[in-house]
Amino acid sequence: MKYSSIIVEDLQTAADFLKKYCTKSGIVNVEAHFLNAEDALVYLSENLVDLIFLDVEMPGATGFDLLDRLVYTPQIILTTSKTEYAYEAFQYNVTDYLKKPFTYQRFLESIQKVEKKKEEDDSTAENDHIFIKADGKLIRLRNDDILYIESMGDYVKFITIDKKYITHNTIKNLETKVDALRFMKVHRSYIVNLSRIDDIQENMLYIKGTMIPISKAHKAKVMQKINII
Amino acid sequence: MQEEEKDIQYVFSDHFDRQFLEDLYSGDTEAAAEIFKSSLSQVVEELQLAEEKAKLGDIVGIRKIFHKIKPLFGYMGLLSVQDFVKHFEDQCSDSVLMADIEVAYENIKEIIREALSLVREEHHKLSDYNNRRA
Repeated sequence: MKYSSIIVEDLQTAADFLKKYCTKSGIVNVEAHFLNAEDALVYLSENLVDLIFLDVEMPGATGFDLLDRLVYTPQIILTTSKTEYAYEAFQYNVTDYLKKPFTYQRFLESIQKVEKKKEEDDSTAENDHIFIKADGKLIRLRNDDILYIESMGDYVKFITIDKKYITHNTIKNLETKVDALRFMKVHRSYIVNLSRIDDIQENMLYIKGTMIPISKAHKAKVMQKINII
Repeated sequence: MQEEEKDIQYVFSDHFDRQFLEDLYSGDTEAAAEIFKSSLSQVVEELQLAEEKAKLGDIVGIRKIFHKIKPLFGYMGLLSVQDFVKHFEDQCSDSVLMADIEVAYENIKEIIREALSLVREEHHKLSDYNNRRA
């Protein structure tokens, strides 16, 4: 899995250094670098990332101020040159704490912690929602409320109990992001919430009256997943 | 002959923490040269800003600048200088008046001046090495 990340760091050299390590790792994509927390918050209000490399002391708002104002909680790796922030780091439940400058080996250890935390988060009940970017903001959708997701080329449509949301994404990408226990790709254009299926007839399934095709490639897996008595 | 030169591993000068630089760059001398260059110019820039803060007696501002440049000496393998900067940063935190840190400020500037001279030399050495290998 590749992790999308941003770097919030007022020291250009430190950011350049970190970018090199991310590239070298092959599993961390750096989407953007911000020299201050305010600019990062603007970006984060419209974009989802898996991971933030966050400096603490920066001009203006601190890294902890940014954490206080985040609307969702990606994983955080604090990158600082002071060890005195360890207590606050613990309070904010950050994934790791890197003291600058750090070696590539130490960086990799941090990424392993990210992977471990991701696995833990995925397996906990707290993982009951996703955030999508629609209408110029990040919207929280409860997994329970999502009926199905439909492809629209470079966009997808989330159909919930009471609303539809269109967002820039693909079914292929979402397939790895949604809760695999609850959602399933049944066709190249559809991911459905398994608990919302009303009935299945031949190669079609029905959710709240909507007919959704099941492709031949996915039919066997769908039948395995549902409870047939 | 040229092939032999390419095989020679770069060795940082005595003033630098070789083992730490090896751990940091893993033999990537191109990256090291790049980081030395950018660190050098950032330290110089920040020191100019510190001078302005010093004229205003802004100790908080000075502390922030030295906090910012502190890790740069780590990237350049000068861990002892990094410790000196940390000590000065702590002194700034504990002081109220510019007079309290004036001597320490002059001392740290001198230490940094000497350190930057070493870094410039090392950067030249690194660049020559990289050019020979290119």
